[in-house]
Amino acid sequence: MDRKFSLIVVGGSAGSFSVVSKMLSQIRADFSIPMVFCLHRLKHVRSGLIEGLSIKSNLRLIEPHDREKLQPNNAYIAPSNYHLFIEYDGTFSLSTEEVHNHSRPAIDYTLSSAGYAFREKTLGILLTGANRDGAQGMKDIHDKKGYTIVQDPATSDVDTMPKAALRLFTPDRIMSPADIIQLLNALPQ
Amino acid sequence: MNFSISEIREIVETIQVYDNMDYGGYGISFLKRRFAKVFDTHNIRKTVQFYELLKDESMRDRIAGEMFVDSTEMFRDPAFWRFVRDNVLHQLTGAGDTIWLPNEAGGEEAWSFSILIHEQNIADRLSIVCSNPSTSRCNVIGSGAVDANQFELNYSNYKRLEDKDDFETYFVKDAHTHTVTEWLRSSVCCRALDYASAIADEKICMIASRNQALYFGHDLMEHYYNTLYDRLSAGGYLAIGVKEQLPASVAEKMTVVSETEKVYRK
Repeated sequence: MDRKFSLIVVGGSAGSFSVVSKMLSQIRADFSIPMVFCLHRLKHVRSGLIEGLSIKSNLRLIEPHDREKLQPNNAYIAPSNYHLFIEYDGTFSLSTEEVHNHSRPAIDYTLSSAGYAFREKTLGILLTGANRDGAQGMKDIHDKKGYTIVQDPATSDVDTMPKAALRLFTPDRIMSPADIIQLLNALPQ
Repeated sequence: MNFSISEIREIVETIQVYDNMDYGGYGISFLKRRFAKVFDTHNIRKTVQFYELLKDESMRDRIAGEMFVDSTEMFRDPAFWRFVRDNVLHQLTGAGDTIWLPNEAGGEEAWSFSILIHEQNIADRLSIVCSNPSTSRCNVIGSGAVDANQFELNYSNYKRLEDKDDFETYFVKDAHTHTVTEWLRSSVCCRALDYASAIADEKICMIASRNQALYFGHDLMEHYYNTLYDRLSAGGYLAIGVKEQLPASVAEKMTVVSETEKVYRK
């Protein structure tokens, strides 16, 4: 694909750890587009996820602070018990507002805010998961002319999340994790 | 509702004539979400309806309260509370010293502090003052009511402190509400004032403002933290949210006590 993106946002829940781990370990080491992962995680466990994913990651993994600026070559993970938003000025903002879809961080919020801030320069990816969080966020990216990829439900550990997105809109692509990684590695930097 | 930036600016400009309704320094994206929530709560479809509603003083107070974000749960970030218990509380030795919780929204932080200083047997020499510009918010805190649906979460956080297991004894329960016991309630004072005017005379040995400044724009955040710094006694502690950052103008004047738990000392 020739299209250039400024930001890649990825949402996932049940079953997504292994997919994200594969993405990070198989992504090319010079991949420069910032990636933001919003994954459902335990509220009270602040450490462990970054450490676990960092073991094989080709990218530097960061849990951003409030107002931190998005930087190339980095992958970011939404901190536990905070919503993560992308702002127009390319910074993160965090929030402890009410849970959404029983979740904080809520995937919808991260994806929607990315779509509003970066519009057609956003690539949104929704992975396996056990609730419908993320479906509306992906549609918002789609509505703002961003590019959308939903994990093929047939390859998902839990297909509720991808199916919820597919009921709401038609994404640009429905792909297996292996094909998603191949597409990412072929993106112009 | 999905407000445009210009609509948010118009709302902010229109309502700032009222006391405690100056949102000029808040982040725009937060205001978009918060006003949308308030409009939804009150079934408001148009801004003129909102302005009409604000003519009523009690409604203004209620909406000012709704603009604040709750602390989500008691003992949020158990590692922070463990750190405060083990490394900070016993340094607060001056009789009559005050722990101040500015912009406290629901009482969760106040009750957590209250339980902790009780369990450390230092409740007789520390007082807890929280403040919020909304009288209705202060009344909720003063009533000691805690969301019953949050009880299990609060309890699981408390258990992670790995010290005592007396949590049940701090509440009087009925079907829908859990109320903090009267003696625990009496250790907390809530003042219906904004952060700039809430504390005048007390000796402030600790300020806990966790996740309150997330919603401020840059200038308001600078003013807020500089105000807190000025009110804090020399040697006093400031705690912020674990994912917040102090502005450089304040950070450079303070010593880092814990970078992980975001505790600083003046």
